[in-house]
Amino acid sequence: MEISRRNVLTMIGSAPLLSFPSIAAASSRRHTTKVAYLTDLHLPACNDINAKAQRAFEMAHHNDYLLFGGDNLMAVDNQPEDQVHAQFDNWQRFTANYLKKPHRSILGNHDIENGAPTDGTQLCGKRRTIELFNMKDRYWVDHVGGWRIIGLDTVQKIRNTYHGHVDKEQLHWLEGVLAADRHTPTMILGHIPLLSVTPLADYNAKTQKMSMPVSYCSHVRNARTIVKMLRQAGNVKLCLSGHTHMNDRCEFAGTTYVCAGAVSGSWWKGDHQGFAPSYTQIDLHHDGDFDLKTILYS
Amino acid sequence: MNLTRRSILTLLGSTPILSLPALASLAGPKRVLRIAYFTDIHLPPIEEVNLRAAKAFELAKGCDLFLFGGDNLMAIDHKSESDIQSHFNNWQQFTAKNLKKPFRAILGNHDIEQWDDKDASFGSGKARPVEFFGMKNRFWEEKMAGWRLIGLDTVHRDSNRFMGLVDPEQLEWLRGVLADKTTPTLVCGHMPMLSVTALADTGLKPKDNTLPISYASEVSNAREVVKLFRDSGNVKLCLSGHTHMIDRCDFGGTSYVCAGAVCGGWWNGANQGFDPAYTQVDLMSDGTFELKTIFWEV
Repeated sequence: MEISRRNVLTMIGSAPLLSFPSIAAASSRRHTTKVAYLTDLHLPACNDINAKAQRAFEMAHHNDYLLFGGDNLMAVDNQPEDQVHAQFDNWQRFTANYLKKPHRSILGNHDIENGAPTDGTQLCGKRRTIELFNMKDRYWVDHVGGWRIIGLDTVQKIRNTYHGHVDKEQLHWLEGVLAADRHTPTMILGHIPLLSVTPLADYNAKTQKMSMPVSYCSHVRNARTIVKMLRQAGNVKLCLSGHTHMNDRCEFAGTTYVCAGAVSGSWWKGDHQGFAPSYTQIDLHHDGDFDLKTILYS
Repeated sequence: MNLTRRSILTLLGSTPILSLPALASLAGPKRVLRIAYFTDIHLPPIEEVNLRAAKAFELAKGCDLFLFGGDNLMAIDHKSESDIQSHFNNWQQFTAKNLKKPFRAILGNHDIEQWDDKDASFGSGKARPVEFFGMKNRFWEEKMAGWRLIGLDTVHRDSNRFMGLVDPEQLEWLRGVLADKTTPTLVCGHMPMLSVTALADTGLKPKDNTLPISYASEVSNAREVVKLFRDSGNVKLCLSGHTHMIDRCDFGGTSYVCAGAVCGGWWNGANQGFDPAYTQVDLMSDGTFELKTIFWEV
């Protein structure tokens, strides 16, 4: 049983004469939902790699619930239709064989068909993968084990590329969702980080004379608007991302922002900048506390 | 975090009302040094502010060591000699009255005198404050209670501005010091090495494709320093200040903490929602640490 320091402090604070055996008894009564967060799986239509990914899935199945953080597919952006189909088919077969637990997903930049003809909506290029991953919509809210989980769509097409961005329509929806419930402990998922030091620590980032530019391709452009909303809400405990294939955990203003590395490590070629292939195990305690563990599954 | 015997002992240690003799028999790491990390005090020669600051010092007096994280003085940069003297005199009188424990210090941008155009060295403008704060040098290291403390000089001239930098001479020295890869190490530097506070700053001006993180708010060659820390493997903690905001970012085996400001918003309440604070750092005999943010004026 894992228990966080904050929680012990709370317990001690609320009952200063509690003896040690009572603490142990109290902790064993806690209800917990175990979740595996698998981001940047980058599953290609390739059997050797399916076998490696299978290992991560097997270990992750010790949890009650699986969450896919985007870039689930190797890359369907700007790919010919037969490539897209091969990856869709592979995903369907792979998950039919190895995915036996309830699961939810969000989209990453490589899950979006960037080559799709524009239709003027934020759904452009996303419709087929939304269906493939059984998502309710490109963003969604759900309840799991006393927690609320919000999935964001953080990737928007801009000119010939994409930006980390939460569009106006989604922002308005998020504001409403957060305002409707300021009590239920909440976890937010978004592929591109809202707050992370990984873009700042990236060896490949190009510096300028007077600043270190953090590209909107590696960080959500309007993150500060969202961070402000999360601070005001007060019950967003955890915010998970991926995308950079690096791991960090940043505590800021009451929310823990976690960049959860990549199941694929360096796109199935070992470590990426010293970060081994991993997924994150999250214990969601029903009292609103949580514990995180990075699982180096390989 | 696992609820270990150690963490319970630590928690109980900080809750003096609690008396559980049974726990005394549980062997575990001990607290070897309690540091009160006071950054961004910005002490001005103004009596009513001195009286407020005295409360923070009073609250922290149980520590073993005060560590001043820079911007200890309100501002002596670009100030007249009489202004500088009154800052120095005030600090001396204040600490004679309110500082009863050993202390160490590093320099912040506002502790450095106006650049001396005849002195192009990295020590320009720093000779007097280095002497004034009793520092061995503009950067230093010291072994204490089984730990090693390293103080960095992170503020340097960049034409008419200052920039966060660890200069080549200092970097070379740091590389040599970190050749000892066993002693658990705490590093402090005024400007953050890695922090999300600059990314979350509401004053930050976004560009078309990037969020430019100015070298006036983060160390420009931080990635070189972070790489040294990762290679060394024993830098447990890296403390900063400067942004008057609070975060903790765990990356590559080191916890990077931006410790807010004792003065909050320059003695006018909170800064971007962060109340006046200092950080209590407990260094343990097994190389672990415990942190606590103390909002001393609330």
